[in-house]
Amino acid sequence: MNDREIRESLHDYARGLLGEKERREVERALAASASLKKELERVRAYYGALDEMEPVRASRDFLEKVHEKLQHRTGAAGLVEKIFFPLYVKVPLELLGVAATVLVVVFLYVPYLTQKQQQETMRQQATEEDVPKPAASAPAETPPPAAMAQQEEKTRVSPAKAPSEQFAAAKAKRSTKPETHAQDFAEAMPEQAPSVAVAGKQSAGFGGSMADKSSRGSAAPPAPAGAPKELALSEKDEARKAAPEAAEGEARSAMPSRTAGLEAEKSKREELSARPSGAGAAIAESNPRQVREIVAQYAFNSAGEAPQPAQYEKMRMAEAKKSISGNYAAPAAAPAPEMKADRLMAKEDQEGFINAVASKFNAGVQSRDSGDLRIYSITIPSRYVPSFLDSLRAKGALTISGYAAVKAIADKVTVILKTSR
Amino acid sequence: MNRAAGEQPGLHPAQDEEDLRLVENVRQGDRISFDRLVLKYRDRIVMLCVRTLGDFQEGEDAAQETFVKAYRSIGGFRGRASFSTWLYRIAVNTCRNQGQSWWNRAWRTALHLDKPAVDGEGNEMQTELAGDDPPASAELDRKRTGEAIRAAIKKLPLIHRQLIVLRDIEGKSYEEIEGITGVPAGTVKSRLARARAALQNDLKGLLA
Repeated sequence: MNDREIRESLHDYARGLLGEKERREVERALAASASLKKELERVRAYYGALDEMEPVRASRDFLEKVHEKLQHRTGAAGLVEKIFFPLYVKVPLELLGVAATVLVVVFLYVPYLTQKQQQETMRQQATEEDVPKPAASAPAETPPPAAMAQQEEKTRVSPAKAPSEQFAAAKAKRSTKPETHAQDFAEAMPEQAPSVAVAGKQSAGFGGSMADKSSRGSAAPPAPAGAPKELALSEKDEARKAAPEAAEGEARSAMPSRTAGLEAEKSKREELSARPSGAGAAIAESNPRQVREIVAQYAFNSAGEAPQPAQYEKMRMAEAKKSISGNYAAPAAAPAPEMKADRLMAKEDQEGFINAVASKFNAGVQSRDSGDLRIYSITIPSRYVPSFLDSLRAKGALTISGYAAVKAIADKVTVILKTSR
Repeated sequence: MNRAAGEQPGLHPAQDEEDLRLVENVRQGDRISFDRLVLKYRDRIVMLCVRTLGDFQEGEDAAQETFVKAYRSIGGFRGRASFSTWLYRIAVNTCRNQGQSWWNRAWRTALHLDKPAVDGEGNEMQTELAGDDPPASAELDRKRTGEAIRAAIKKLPLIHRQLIVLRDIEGKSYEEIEGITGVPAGTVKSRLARARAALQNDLKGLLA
């Protein structure tokens, strides 16, 4: 063995692990070298120090702990055990954690979502309000050009007839057969005629009562589906209508007695009231509540102002009471609300003005003359009705004899507007 | 410590035969045989783990884990090496994994409030002031020496620690160490020489 091997063997020599041959070789080297002896002393001191170390013994419960660890399951079962066991400690803590998470979501995330929704709604509203200004940019709410043209075609009287002839014909018709403006409207726009529930009158609660009655069908029997020209007007409306018309002048007073006509119509309607359904009922059922609300909320009262909700409710209740008792009598005709303007518009100006305002509100306008009135049929999104009427009234240059919402389909309402020519 | 010449745990034929019989019983579901194996080897495995990891609690946990692993994988024991070698191999690997785990390193620094503090030898540390009777000087010196050696061993790399424990404290042969660690005997010798040199250098003042 060389010197390095002998030095490495000192550890085994000190511990008595060398064989006989190696032990003798090491001993010879030790006898010859003082440094090796010194090294051996250090090695022995090293092992002496190791011997000084206290022995390590397992704890008394070592075996029990091994058994406990063995009972712990592995895999999915072990995972479940780790997550949920012991149940009385971990489950409450986990429920607490879930509750805390829910609270965090409710108090932080939900308000954030709500705020986002509000912002979205506001943005949509802003977009909708911007849309009507360029009328062409709202194809969804504007009737298609083809349909408009078709409707205009239907509205328009035969081109061969001059306007004066149309007027004379209408007047002659009214002189022989007392009909309402709504009937005129029905003639001009037959596709809308079955849906006419109420037509122009200016008294407070007019539209609401009409819609109510048309839907009830007892006091005001609905017009049958097979007779589109039979209007669902009540005697009350006709009576109301008769009063201002009677006061309108010689031309109208020369006509046959309006009252007689109304009486005839009343008896006719009484006959029809036995029928189970009618066009008016059908329309009123289409969205009677919306019609009633819109008309009641925005119709002019006798003072030319919209009725207060309490007034409207009172009127509605009175109407209902009359209907139930069966003693429905035509009320005294209310005076026509004359919205006198300082300067009345000429017919062309009036029409242009209404068209201009309507285009702002994305509304389609059809117009025609009826006697000394001009009737506009305006189809407009229901949410624009108040603003639209306010815009018309703000001008103050129109004499609006009355109006009523006649049809509500989806969110659009057709408003019949009567103005003095 | 078992350092007598020729006495190498795990290599005694009679012991091997007994171990193999117990292992066969454990395979057939006999828990009592397993308990006997645990009781037979627990102190050696605990000592190996505590000396290697330098912490009694951690070492004992590693030793428990060693027996649990041995029980679960006892079906894979082929009997090529002795049962003790196989068990030591599991212990060495468990200590290596545990010593390298960041969680255990962090846990090592935490104070176990539910358990009494123990020193590196597993003795409960006195938290109150010492009694009126001071320990004998020789006992104090012995404790100080043991503490210094533990600290010096702890400074060594893990594999060097294991070699020191297996060879210089446990007295295992190079062949056994090769079987336990999977490191060739020549490499074991050279590493062991380096580890001893480092240790002697660290303990120079104490060994002088």
